[in-house]
Amino acid sequence: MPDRPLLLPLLDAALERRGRLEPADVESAAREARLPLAQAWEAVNFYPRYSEQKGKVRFLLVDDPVARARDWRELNNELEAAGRASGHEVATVFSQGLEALSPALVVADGADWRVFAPIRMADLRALALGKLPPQELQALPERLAGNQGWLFEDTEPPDFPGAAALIEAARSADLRGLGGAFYPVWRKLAAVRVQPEKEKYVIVNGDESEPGNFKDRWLMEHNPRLVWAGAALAARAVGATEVFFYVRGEYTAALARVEAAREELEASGYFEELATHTFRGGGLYICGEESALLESIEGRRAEPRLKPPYPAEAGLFGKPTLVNNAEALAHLALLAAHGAAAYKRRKPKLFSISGDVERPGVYELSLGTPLKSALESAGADTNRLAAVLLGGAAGTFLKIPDALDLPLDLSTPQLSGDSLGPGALVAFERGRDLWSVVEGITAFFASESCGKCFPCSLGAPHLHAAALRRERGPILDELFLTLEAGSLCGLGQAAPWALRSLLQRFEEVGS
Amino acid sequence: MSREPLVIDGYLLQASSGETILDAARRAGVEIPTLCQHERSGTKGLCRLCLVEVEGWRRPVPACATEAIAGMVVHTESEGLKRLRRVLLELLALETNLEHDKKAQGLLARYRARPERWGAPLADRREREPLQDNPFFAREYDKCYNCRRCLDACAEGIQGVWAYSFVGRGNKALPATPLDLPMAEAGCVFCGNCVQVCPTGALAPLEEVLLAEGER
Amino acid sequence: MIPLRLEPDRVVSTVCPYCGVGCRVDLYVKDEKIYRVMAREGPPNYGALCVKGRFGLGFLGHRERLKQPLIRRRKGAQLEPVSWDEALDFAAGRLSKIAREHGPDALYFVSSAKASNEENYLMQKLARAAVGTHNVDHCARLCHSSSTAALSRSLGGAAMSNTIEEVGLADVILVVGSNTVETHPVIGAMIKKAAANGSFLIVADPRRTGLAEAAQLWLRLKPGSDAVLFGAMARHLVVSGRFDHPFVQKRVSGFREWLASVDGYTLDFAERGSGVPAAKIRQAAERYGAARAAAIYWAMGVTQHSHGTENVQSLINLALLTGQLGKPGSGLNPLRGQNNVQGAGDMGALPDVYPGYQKVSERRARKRWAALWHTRLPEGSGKTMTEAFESVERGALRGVYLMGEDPVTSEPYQDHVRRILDKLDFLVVQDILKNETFPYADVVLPAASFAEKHGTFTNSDRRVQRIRPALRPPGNAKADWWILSEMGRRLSARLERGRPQSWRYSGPEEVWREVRRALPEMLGGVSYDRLEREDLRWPCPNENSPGVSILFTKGFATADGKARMLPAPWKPPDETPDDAYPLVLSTGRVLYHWHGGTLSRRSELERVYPEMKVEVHPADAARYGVKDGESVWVASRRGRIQATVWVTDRTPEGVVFAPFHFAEQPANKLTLNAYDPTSKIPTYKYAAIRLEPLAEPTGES
Ligand SMILES: Cc1cc2nc3c(=O)[nH]c(=O)nc-3n(C[C@H](O)[C@H](O)[C@H](O)COP(=O)(O)O)c2cc1C
Ligand code: SF4
Ligand code: SF4
Repeated sequence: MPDRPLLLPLLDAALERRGRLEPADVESAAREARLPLAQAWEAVNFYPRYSEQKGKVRFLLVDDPVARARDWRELNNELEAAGRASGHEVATVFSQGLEALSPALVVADGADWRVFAPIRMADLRALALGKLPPQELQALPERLAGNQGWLFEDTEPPDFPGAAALIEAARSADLRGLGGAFYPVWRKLAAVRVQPEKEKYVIVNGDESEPGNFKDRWLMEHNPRLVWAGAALAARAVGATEVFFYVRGEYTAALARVEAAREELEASGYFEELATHTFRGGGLYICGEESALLESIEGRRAEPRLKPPYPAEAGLFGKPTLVNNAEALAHLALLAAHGAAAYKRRKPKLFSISGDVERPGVYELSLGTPLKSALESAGADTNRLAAVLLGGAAGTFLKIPDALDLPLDLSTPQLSGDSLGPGALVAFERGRDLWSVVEGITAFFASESCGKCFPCSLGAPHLHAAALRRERGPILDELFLTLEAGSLCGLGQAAPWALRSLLQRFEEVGS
Repeated sequence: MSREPLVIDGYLLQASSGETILDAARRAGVEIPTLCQHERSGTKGLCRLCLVEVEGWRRPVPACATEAIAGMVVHTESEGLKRLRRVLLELLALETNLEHDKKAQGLLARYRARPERWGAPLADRREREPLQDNPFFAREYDKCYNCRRCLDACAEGIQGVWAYSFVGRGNKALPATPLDLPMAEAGCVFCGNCVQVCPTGALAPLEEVLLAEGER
Repeated sequence: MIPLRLEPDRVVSTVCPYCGVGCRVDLYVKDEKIYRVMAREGPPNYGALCVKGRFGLGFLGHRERLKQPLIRRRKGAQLEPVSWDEALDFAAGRLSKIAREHGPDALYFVSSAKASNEENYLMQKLARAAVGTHNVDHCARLCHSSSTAALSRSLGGAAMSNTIEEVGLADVILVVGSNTVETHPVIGAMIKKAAANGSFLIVADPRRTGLAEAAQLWLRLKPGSDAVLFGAMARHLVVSGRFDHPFVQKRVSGFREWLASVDGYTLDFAERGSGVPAAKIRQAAERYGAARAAAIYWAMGVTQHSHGTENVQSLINLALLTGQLGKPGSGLNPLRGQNNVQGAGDMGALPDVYPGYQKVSERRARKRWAALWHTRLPEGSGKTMTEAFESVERGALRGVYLMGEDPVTSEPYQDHVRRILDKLDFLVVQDILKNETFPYADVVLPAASFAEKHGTFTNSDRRVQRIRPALRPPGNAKADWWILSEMGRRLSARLERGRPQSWRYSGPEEVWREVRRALPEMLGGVSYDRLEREDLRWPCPNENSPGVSILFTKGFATADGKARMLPAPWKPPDETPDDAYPLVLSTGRVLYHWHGGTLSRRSELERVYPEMKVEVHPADAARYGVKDGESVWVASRRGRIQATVWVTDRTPEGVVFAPFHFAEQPANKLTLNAYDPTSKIPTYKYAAIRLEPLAEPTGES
C-alpha cells in the first residue's frame, strides 16, 4: 500500500468525532491522504453517510422485496403518521440483508443507526409516541442458520497446502466465484499468481447489497474466521502482500466481528507476514462491483473501471489484485480443510431464503438441489406459491409451479435466461403484489446507478417510471436492450431483468 | 509495429497494434458515433454510443476503448446497435438542453430519434440555473450531459489542477467544484481547457455568451 | 464540432501573443470582436492554452489602444495628432539630425520580442543599414541574455536544444528557477503530467511553486546559490564515477580546468552555500546522472542575477558531463519569456550579432551584410540596452527608438530610468497601447497588434509559425513592419546609406524572403507557403528539409565541434541582508499577468489579479509584525513601493517575493543596479529590503 492513509477511514474518523463532516474535516482528510481536495469532495458527495448529521433523527423503513410484496403501503402510511407526530423525517432505505426478518425499521441519528426487525404496525404506532420498537437487532440471530452445514461450522483455519496444490484443488473441485458471475476461482488465482509485481492484493468482497441476499452477512457475523482463513490461503497462493476485507458499510455488527476475527487470527500468527485490514465499505450497492470497490478503497467515487485491464493485472493501486466473494473464499478454506474430493461430493452453497416460507434464513444446500426441495427445506408450502425471485434484485421471477423442478446449479437456470446470482430465493404466495416488488427493484437500480455511463444513469430512472406506470409494450423492450447491452457494468445490465421476467412470465399480473 | 488484419463492416484493413476499433474504423472511412471520447482529455467509454459488435464476443464493446485485434470481425451499425443508439440519444435529448451541441443534433437526426416517446424528463438537469462565478467562462449545466471531459482535462488529462469535482449519483450527477467553492477558490487557473473540450456548450467563454445574448 | 452559440464571421489561425511556448490559437471573430479562443489540436500546445491566451486578449479592444500618430514639436509642448507622413518625416528628421551631429552611436534602437521576425529584422536593419550603428537590442537582455551568453560560448547555439513535445520522453526532468506552471503554463502542465506518468521531477527553486509541489524531489536552494548547487552535483558525479566518460572524451573540451574549479564544492560545502541538505543534493545528482534521458528547463530564477552566466554555465556543465545533449528527451532548455524572444535574437536584434547570430566582430559577416544592404557597416559591437541607458547622463546617447518596449516598468531601478528618459533629446515610442514610457515620448507611432497583421513568430523551441490578421487595426494604427520600412526609407535617404528603394516591401512575406536569402542555412526552407501546411523549426536549410528538432546530435556549433565546459564559480550575492534591510527581495511573474502588465492588465485578467501582492513567509510575517491582507511599504536602499501582504510558505523564510507586472507599484524600483558582467543582465532576483507599516513611512523614499 502507498505510504499514506486511506481517505474513507479518515473521513469516518472525523465523522465519528464530530457527528458530521465540516469542510475543514474534508480538507484535512484530503491533505493527510495526499489526494486533491476535489477528489475527497467527490467521495464525500458520493457515499451517503458523509452527508449525515448527528442530531438529525430519521425513521427509515427498509425497502426490500419481502416488505414490498406485503403491506408496503400501509407500513409507509403508518410510519409517515409517526413521523408527523414525532416531528422526525421519514424515508426509506434499500434492503439491509434483513429479508428473513422483514419488515425492518432503521432509526437513524445522523450516520448512527439502530435497527429493529421484524416490526409490526403497532410498533410504528408506538413510534409516534416516542417509543422504539422492542426488537432491536445488532446481528442476524444465530437461528437463521436454517440447517446444518460446513459453512456454519467453526472450522480450524487450515494449513496452506502450497500454491500449486490449492489452485489444483480449486480447479478439480470446480470452485466458482459466488458473487454472482461464477468465474472459476482457480483461473483468477492463477492469473494473479503469474503477475511479476512484488506488491499484490487480495480483496474479500463482503459488500453484499443486492436485495434478497443476506448469506454473506450471516457468514461475516457468525463465521468470519473461515472467510479470513480462505483469504489468507488465497493471498499465499497468489503471492499477495496485503488483504482487505471489504465489509458493507451498513453492516456494523459484521464489521466488528470481522475485525475481531482478524485480530484473533493475527494474534495466533496465522497471517504470518501478511498485512490484513478490515475496510468499511462505502454503503452503496455499486461498491460491490469489483473495480468500483477498488476505487472506493483508493478514496474515489465507487465507479466501475473500464475493463480491460482486469483487477488481476491492474487492480488496487494499479497492482495485481484478486477479488473474490466472501463466501467463495470461505469455500476455499473448506476445500483446504476437507480436500477436493469431499468438497466435490458435497458441493455446498449458501442460499438466502425469504418471503413466504415457514423458516426464512440461510441454508446450505448442495448445488443442483431442485427448487422445490430448496423451498421446502425452509418450510414453504409450494402449493400456495405463485412466484420466486431467483438471485435477488438483479435476478428474475420464476413462475411456480412451472419452475419447481429447476435444479439450482450454476448452469441450468441460465438456459432460460435465469441465474442463481448470489443465491437468493424470495418466495411469493398467490395474491402478493409482484408489481410493487418490481417498483422497489427498479427504484433500487435508479437510485444505486453510479452515474458513470449514460445508458444506466439515464435509463434506470425511466425503467422505474415505466414500472410505476405498470406499463407493458414494445417500447420497453428497447429500453431493456439499451440497459442490458449498453450499460458499462452489471448494475445497469441487470436492472431490467426482474421487470422483463414479470412481463414475460406473468401475463395475468394486472397492471 | 506489427500490422494485423481485421474486418470492420466488411472492409478488410490492417490494424496497427495499440490502435482502437474507433481509430481503425475511422481510417476505413467508417464513422462510429461518439459523444464523450476525447483524445486530449483522455475521456472514453462513458456515453456507450460507440458500442460495436464483435463476432464471437458476448457483449458489444466500446470502440473507443477496445483494441482492434487481428481476426476481429466488427459490425458498427447492426439493427440492435441502431436501436440502442436511438434510445440513448432520445433519453439524452429528453433530459439535456442540446441546443448548441450540433454533433448531438446530427446524431439525433441520423438515428431518427424521437425523445418525446419517453414522456417527461426525469432528471432535474433542464432546471439547473446557470452559474456565473468567474469573469472568464459561463457554466450552464442544463446543457451538460456528464461526459466528464472537463473534469479529465482539468485533472490528469491536461492541466493537473483538480478544480472540478463530479458530485451526485445516477441522473443527479454533475460536475461541480470542491466544497462548492467559486472556481477561483477551487484552485482553477482559468486555462479554459475545460471550455476547449466541452462538447455541449455547457462551458462557454463569457464573451461568447454575452455576445450571443446581445448584451455587448 | 465546437458548440458555438454564434456563427463566426471568420476563424483565424494564429499564435498567442504572450509567452514563448508559442501556442497556436484559433480566433473566432464576430462583428470585429474575438469571442472565443480555441487551441489548435497539434504542436506545440496540443489543444491546451493558459488563461492569458484563452481569456487575456481584451487589450485588443482596450480604450488605451493608440490610434493616431502623435508628435511633440518641442520639449514641454503637448503631443498632437498628425498624419503618418508628418509623424514619420518629423521622426526621421530628428533622428538623422542626431546621427549627423553626434554620430550614429548616439541613437539607440530597442526592438521587441513581441514583434514579428520580419519586424525585428527590419528594426536591426534600420539601426545597422539605415543609420550605421549596432546599437540595437531587445528585452531578452532583461531575462535570458545570460542564457544566450553561456549557451553560445559553450555550445555555439542559444536556443532550446530539444523540443517541447519531448517533455514526456525524459525519465528525469530538472526544472530550475522556473515557476513553469505560472510563467509557461502549457509546458508546466506537460511537465506535471510527465511527473504523474513516471518521470522523476526535480525542482530547484527557493519558492514552493506549483511544480515544486508536484516534484518527487524539491531542492529549496537559497536565492542565487545555483552555481554551487549544480557545481557540487557535477563534482559528485565525477568523484563517484557516475559521469559519461566517453561523451566527455569525444565531445567536450575544458573538462580538467572545470574540474579544478569545483575542487572545493563538496556536498557539505554546497549544503552550506545553498541551504539544501547534502543528502538531497546527492540524490538529485545521482538521479540525474543515472537517467537514460534527462532534460533541464530553466528560466529567470537562474538568469536574472549578477552572476547569471555562471548559473547557466553550471547547468551546461552538468548536462555535458552526463552526455545529456543531442538525444531525445534530454537537453538544455531555457524557457523563453516573450512569444518571439527567440525570433528577436535570431533576427539579430542584439548589439553584437547580425541575424543568424553572425558576430558583428567578424570581418566576413560584416562584408556579407554590407553587400546585402549596399552600405558600409561599423566594426565594433553596439552597446547593450542596459549599458546604453547608463551612458545617457554622460551625453553619449541622445535619441532612442522604442518599439513595443516599456523600460519604465521593465528596466530595473525605475526612478533612474525615468531620469534617463527625461534627459533624452528625442524619444520615439512605437506601441499598441499607452504605457509608462508614453509621457516621455516626442513621437508616438500607433502600431497594429499581433492579431491585426501578417508575419512569423519563433517560439521557445525554434518553431517558426505564421501569424494572421483577425481584426482591422484600430484608427490609424499600422503594422510595425510598415512603420519600420517607411522609417527605413526616410532614414536611408536622409543619411545617404544603402538604397532607399530597398525599403519598399509589398508585405511581410517579402521581408521574410529577404531574411531567408540572407540566412539560407538557418531559414532557407521556411517559406510562407510551407508554413501554411507544415510545422517547421530551424535549422531548415531548404524546401525539402523538415527542420531539425534535436540540436547537437552530431557536433556542437563551435569551431572544433566540441562543447566547452567552463568554470562557473559561485559568488556570494552583491547585497546581503543586514539589520537595516533584513529580507531578500525576489521578483518574478504570476500566472495572470505578463511582463510589464501592459497587455494583461488591460484585459479580463486584471479582474482576478488586480493588485500587487507580495509573498511573505509566516515566520517573517510574525517577526516583522505584518498580517495577511495588510498593506505595507516594501523598501530597499533605492526606493519603496506599496503592496498587499500575502502570508504564505510558498516563499522561503527570509525572502519576499514580488511580481513585477504592476507599473504603479513597480517592484523594479527596489532592485539592485547591478549587472552580470558577461551578459549585462540586471539582478532582478536579489535585493535587500525591509517591510514597513504604511502608517509611519521612514527611510529614503
Ligand atoms: C453492481 C454490482 C454489485 C456487486 N456486488 C457484489 C457483492 O456485494 N459481493 C460480491 O461478492 N460480488 C459482487 N459483485 C460481483 C463482483 O463484481 C465480482 O464479480 C465478485 O466480487 C468476484 O468474486 P467472485 O468471483 O467470488 O464472485 C457485484 C457486481 C456488480 C455489477
Ligand atoms: S451501469 Fe450504472 S452503475 Fe454501472 S457504470 Fe454505468 S451508471 Fe454506473
Ligand atoms: S460541462 Fe461539458 S465537458 Fe463537462 S461534463 Fe458537462 S458536457 Fe462534459
